[in-house]
Amino acid sequence: MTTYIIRRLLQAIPLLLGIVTLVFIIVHAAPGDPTAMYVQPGVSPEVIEQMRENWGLDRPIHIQYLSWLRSFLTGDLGVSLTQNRPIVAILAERIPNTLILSGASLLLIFAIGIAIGIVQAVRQHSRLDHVLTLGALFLYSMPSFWLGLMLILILAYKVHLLEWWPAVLKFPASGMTGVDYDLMGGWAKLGDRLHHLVLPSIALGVASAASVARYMRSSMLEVIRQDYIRTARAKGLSERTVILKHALKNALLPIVTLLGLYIPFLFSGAVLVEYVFSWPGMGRTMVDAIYQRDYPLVMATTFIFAVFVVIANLIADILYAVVDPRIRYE
Amino acid sequence: MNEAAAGAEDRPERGHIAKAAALVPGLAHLLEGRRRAGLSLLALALVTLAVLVFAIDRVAATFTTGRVDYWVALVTLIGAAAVAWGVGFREALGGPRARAKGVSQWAIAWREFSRNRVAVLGLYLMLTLYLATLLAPYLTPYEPNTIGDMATTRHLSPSLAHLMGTDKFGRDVFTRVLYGARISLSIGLIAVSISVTLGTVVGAASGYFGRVVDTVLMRFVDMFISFPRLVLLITVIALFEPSIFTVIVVLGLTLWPSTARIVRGEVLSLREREFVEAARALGLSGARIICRHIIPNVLGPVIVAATLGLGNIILVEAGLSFLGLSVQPPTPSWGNIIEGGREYLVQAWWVSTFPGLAIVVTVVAFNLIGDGLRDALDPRQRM
Amino acid sequence: MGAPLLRVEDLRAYFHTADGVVRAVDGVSFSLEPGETLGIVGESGCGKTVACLSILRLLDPPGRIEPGSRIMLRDRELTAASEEEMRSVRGNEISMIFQEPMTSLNPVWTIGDQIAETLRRHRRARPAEARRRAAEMLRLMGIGFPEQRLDEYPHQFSGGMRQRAMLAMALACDPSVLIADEPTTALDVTIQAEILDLLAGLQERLGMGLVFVSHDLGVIAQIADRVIVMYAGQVVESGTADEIFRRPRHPYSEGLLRATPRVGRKMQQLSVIPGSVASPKLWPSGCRFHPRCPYAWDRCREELPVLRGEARAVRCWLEEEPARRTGGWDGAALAEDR
Repeated sequence: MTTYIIRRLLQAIPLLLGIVTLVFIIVHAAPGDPTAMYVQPGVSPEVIEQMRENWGLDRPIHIQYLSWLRSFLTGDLGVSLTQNRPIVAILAERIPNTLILSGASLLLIFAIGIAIGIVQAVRQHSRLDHVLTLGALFLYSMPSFWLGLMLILILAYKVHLLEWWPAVLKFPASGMTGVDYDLMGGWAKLGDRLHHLVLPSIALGVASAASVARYMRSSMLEVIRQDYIRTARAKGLSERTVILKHALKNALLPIVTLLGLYIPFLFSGAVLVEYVFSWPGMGRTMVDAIYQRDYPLVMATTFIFAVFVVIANLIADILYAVVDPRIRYE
Repeated sequence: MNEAAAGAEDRPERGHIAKAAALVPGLAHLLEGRRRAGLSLLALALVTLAVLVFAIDRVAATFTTGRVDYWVALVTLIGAAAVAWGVGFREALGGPRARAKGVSQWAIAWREFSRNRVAVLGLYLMLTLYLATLLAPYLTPYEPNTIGDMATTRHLSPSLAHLMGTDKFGRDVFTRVLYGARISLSIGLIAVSISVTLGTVVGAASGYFGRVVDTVLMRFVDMFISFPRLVLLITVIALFEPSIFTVIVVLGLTLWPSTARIVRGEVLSLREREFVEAARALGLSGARIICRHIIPNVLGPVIVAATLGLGNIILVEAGLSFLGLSVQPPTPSWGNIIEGGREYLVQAWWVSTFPGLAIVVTVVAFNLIGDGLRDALDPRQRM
Repeated sequence: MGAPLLRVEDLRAYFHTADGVVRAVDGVSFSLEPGETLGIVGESGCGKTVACLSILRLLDPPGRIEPGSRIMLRDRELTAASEEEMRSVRGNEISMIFQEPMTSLNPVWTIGDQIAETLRRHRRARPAEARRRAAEMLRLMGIGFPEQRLDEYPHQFSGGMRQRAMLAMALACDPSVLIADEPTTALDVTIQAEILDLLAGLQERLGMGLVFVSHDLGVIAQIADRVIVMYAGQVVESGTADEIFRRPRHPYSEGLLRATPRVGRKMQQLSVIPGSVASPKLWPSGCRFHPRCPYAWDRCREELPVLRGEARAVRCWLEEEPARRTGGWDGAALAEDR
């Protein structure tokens, strides 16, 4: 198990190097040299020339590459042009917010996706199964940003016109906290945060949840046919135990590998959903940075997103080993 | 086949009916009991007739405006009519030919696909969408980018005159959605072609040559997949100038890794099979073996991946337009219409809602077709 | 003597599929006494497995037990039992082990957990107690270091070991009936012999009734007290093991016996019954064996013979017209050769 984890960790190193390199290539392939990003009104040509020198752009490309590598690996992501602070400091504020949103979505994706998949497999070919399959098809064909807008339109605005609609189900349209957040007590603060989390995490997670449900259904159907399920029934176990103990764990194996596939997808969605909901996370930061042409910040967020994907894949691999004893003891 | 045989025997008795049937496309098919084909031809004929009757002035305008999209629409209209009546005539006059029972892999796949009702529904949806896109200038009396009278046409709610209402500039949303479809559908098509070609070549090379080539290429694929797709796209597009061209190229260049993985897997299993061994024993070169023997065999999974990828690319493109990183306003695309309506979401919900529905319907259609194709072409992956 | 331990009467299990009714088991009756081993023999596709699964009511839809069938465990009617009652019978009073030990154990739970689970379900045993008993069962099955092996996963066990673990699981609650469906078929010959010895020993010690299903007459001969021969969903012959092996009366049993290698018989004499079991969707008219029977005459093609006799029963028209038993398998084999 330990060797397995170490091997996976070692495999991640070249991947990270590759990612840094790719970002380097993208920057250098862009029209003009990297200082072109900094050419803005208010930045004098002397400053640009100074930058070229500081960055060593007059030096050969491989030297530049090495110094680029060094700065990224030491965690020096540069300085934001618009906010005039180290990018590391900006991201340190934003990363947790993105992780909260993605984490909530991930929870939603797997909890709902797996539950629906199980129900569909157990009731295969029933009317419920058909309805859920059709619903899932529509949900995973839905753009997350549009779903977000529709949720805002209906659950944040339109329901305010309804007297009888419970206040808990009137959700805030944007932000992470209410305006009066600082005045709230501990529990109220938590409630306010959760309240703000509902719509964005649904918008972000629904499509993936639908897709997980699809995979779960077919995985479960595959498992239910297996001999060991018949053995479990022959032992006199209740149908509940047979499904939730004997079938579920096996059916989850392929789903765990999906985790690694959903993370990049989730982050992509986060960029749009954070934008729609004014959620102060990395995605929102990135979009703002693009609008303000703050390229160092764009590059840094790209890099951090990619690193998170690598980490998520590592976690997925390790989880897989935890669930599947055949890998654990290989 | 039974109906065809029965039809042949009936021929002398109902000859005149059959001849009359030639005038109405699809009737001959219907008489033979081929309901689906008959009804589709009939529908196609009715659409062309309806356009001619209700939009004759715009059809006529084709010759005066000289705009390219009007000519495209005219060609499409003539083409549709030719297909409807042509196929109808052939069926009615040529009589029920002994339709060859296909035995090739593709014929079997088609039969399998056409049995799948939802997949066929998806196919019809897609054909309707493309037809509507091409016929756009004839289907709506409005222009997509002409700003209306702000006082009288701004934010009108949906009505018969404006099926999807109007936006903050008084433009007809239905018209913009119709024209926006061109962007989504064509960007999708071109980007998928690029990425599928690239992915197939990379995957085939990786799987066929193995060893160092495989390791290097697959590490590269891993790296690409590690970037959240949209994040990478946004970064690249932001560094260059956002335009249709950039978007197409960048989408095409960033979506190939999944195809490459699929093709590589297929090739790895094919490589050990006899016919490839035989080709190698005959001394054929690697490139030749890949082109002649391996690529035709991985076509099935690739087509499936491409169809499902189309739906996906449409979603990604919509996201980019939504962020203003794709087609620039005033040229409509589904994403930027939604973004345009966002400001007045509560006052004019229709502006953002309808283009979103259009995206959903389109992506559902491609997913249905993709699933149907997978069941037909690649039974191992059936869900 | 009271009611037998297990009595199956006129068991019919049909599969109601879209393209017709598949009569997989079509009127099978037998009974089992405590401490007795009943061998069920027949080619694959003759309905043995379906019959076994029916006893535990484990048929998956569209399969179902037809009304009129009776399955009596002592004096309880299992066909009328509720699903809840059936669950307390399965693994507790009647246990079953399967042909494929490789796939019959759940790969993601430990052996110990899977054995203990039965005890916890039926005996309400506490975890520690269940674990102790599970180890005891493994030891009883002849598995060394049972304490350690409890924490291992099925993939760490060899085929023979897995079948022992299956047995441990099946016998943990002292069932009065054990149904073994081709338990040794997937195993090597030496391991097969070990498992058979183990089964015989266990049965002697625990006194349970054993239903042993196999297509292999040699295996049945080693273990069974009484034997029923099944063909095309029906019993064609029954009797003591001795009677069946020494004086088979149904042509099918004769054929099966000839197809079984025995010491002192040259290999080239080994024959195979020509043809294969018909599709259960369309059993042949008359006697279901007639298309493959070397003695068949007009009557066999038209009328289905009844099973005649009690303990020793045969379903064949030869019983009424013994004079027609001429030529037989040697002739048939010859005809095949030509």
